Amino acid sequence: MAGKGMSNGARHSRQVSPRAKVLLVGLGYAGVKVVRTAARQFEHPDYAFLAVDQSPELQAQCELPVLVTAAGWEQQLPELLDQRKMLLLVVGLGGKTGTRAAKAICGAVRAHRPELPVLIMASMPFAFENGERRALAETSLRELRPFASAIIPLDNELLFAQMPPETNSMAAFERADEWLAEVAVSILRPFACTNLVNVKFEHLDWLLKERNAQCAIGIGWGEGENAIGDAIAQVMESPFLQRMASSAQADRALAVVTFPEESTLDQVRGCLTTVRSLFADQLSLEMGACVDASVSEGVRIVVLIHFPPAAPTAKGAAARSRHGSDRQMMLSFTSSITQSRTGIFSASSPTRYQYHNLDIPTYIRQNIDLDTTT
Amino acid sequence: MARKQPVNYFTSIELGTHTIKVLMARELPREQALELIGCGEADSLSVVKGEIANVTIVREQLRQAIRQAEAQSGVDVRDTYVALAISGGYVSQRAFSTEVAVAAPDQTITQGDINQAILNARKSDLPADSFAISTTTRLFRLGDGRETLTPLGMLSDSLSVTTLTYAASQMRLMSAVKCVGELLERDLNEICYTPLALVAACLRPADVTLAGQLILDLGAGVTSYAVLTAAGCYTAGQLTVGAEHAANDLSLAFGLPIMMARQMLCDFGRLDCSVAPGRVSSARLIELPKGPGMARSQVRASSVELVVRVRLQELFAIIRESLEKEKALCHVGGTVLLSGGLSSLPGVCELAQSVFGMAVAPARPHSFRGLEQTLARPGFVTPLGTLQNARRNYAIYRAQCSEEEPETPSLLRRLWRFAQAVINF
Repeated sequence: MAGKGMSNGARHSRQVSPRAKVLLVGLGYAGVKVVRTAARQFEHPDYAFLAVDQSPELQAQCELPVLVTAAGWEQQLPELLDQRKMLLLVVGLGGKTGTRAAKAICGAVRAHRPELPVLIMASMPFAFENGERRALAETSLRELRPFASAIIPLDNELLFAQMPPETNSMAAFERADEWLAEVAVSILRPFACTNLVNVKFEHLDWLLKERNAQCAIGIGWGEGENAIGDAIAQVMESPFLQRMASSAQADRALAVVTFPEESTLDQVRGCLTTVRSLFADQLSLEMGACVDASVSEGVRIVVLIHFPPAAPTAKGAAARSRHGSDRQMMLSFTSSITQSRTGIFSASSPTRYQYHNLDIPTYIRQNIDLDTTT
Repeated sequence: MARKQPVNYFTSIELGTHTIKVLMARELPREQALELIGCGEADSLSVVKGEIANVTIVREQLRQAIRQAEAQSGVDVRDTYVALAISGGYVSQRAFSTEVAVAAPDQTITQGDINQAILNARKSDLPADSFAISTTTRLFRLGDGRETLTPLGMLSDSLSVTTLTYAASQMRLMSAVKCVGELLERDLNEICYTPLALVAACLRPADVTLAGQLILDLGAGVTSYAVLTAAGCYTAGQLTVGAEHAANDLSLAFGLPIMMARQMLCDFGRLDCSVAPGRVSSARLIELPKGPGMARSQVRASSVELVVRVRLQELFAIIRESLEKEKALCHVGGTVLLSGGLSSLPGVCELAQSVFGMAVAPARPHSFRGLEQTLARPGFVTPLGTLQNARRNYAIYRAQCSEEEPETPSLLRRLWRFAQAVINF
């Protein structure tokens, strides 16, 4: 699992640390559940957690600092946003509290800290929930998009599709919360680890600087002899990555690999080379590597892929241009896109050698420029 | 079920990724050779990377190939000793080592010591879901740690041997065995791991007295390799990469339908293309046939060559690396032999030579007569080797039996095979 190797953190104080660079906010019932789970998995002075809900009872029940959306609650937001380097909102769409609170917080960011990157993780309702709820979620997603640096829509339906049909329903919901918490922590955690190569907040900023965009996330964990191969396979099978990548074209991506302390230089270099080879040349890619003392005998890979807005702004186009290519870029990643890279072998067990999927053409993996013009 | 009659007819079956092949042969005892009497070949429509993807389709294609071979030979396949060549990613290699004390008072190693060490190694346990296809001898180690391929007559207080067992996942192996068995309505007599078939087809112990040999079979779905030394088969293995990968690469690179990419690979020589290193085809264009879904009408010859060259170069480099890791390459002093359909690709010998740093030549099967066209085709080396292997194993079995008219061994009667491990090429 992607979350293996993460240590449990202690309970948080009831005050939001003013020194924390990153604020992780759970909005509404679903968002708060996820953030509470994330807080149990991860503790670091650079990261603070906050629960936002309309229910005052939450203050008594929750171990995190709580902000109740009573009258005038927005006035506390500027202080909470001060000194932060990033804001991560986790919200379950389809209800009213989460969406409303998310809009209010994003509004406060615009007014007081317009340069602050805001990443929204939005979980979408299940298909079996009533259609109104689903429609409301879709509307909220559209409404929130202009406020956020990027939105990661996380469709519970896709997540549940990965579970065996005999999974107990309660267990399935719990698993969904855990998974969403893992996603949140996986995005943030590398930035709190010992930096080996290129793991900086600036890269998240680079990925998220264009508003109205969407992101897809893939997380993979592997251990043992084929740790990297297994981690890559998990990333490629990540449900949220598959859906997004098959429906849109990406322009940039951030891949961060977390190694255990005892990793050798050769292992790190081999792994980074392999992960890099998974992406198309045209994609603007930032790669990072870090060492996490809590990861033992395994490798964790987090991939964030950015999809530009449908009608890119001049600023966005310029940004893409600076990163190498102005034309529309194809992402060559995830199973649907892997299919376009493995062709007739897409349905068969991949042939692997070390970290490489040999079903992908050699010229692609070796980044060989091919003259296909005639 | 196995039939009670002496055998001098043999059949080999290969369920290949490109074609399904059936060869029938008659033993020529005086010449210690086989005469090919029947050959059948049918397109393989549902074998991927050496494994059956659709049993019904494969069985039908096999039926066609068998009919052709029977029609040519005039012999019913069911009346022959039938061997099936096995390939695929589900076969793995396991090394076992055992040690015996040298029995002679003067501590001279005898054939008896060698046999005992090998037999002990063969008793090593395999996982419950694995089925041992073959065991070969890698090398011997004397009491003082010296390694040797030929310990006979040397002095030591003990002798250890490393053997390699080629084991297949039972369920996946039985899919192939059952597919053939049900069509023939009888049990198979033996199965043969493809790399070992190559050795049987092209290498004789006399060929490796002085220096080990490496043989590579470039198939459509699987590439097999084996290193034969004076002690036996030092190592053998497979990589589920083959001509289909090269065709797939072409298809993806130029947006060609896969059938057209396959055809382009078959026509590589006719298109004046080559994978030889250093080849420069400059801006020459290859015309493509017009067809639905065709995004282009021409491709650059240099790009076509590059796509296939880097694929094969990588394949050779992986095999070289694997052999180096197993310390097998240092035992190869002779020529690298190439077989398989892809070995006829222009420039492939030069490319292999540049990667392995050794002379490379096409593999030539030995001890066969008849059907010269079939013998000359590099894609038939595996079924030819399977025939050769079957003949040798049956001869060993016959020598072990005291009955005048031995029952043909069925696949399940594996005990007789201990002799194979002892003699081991």
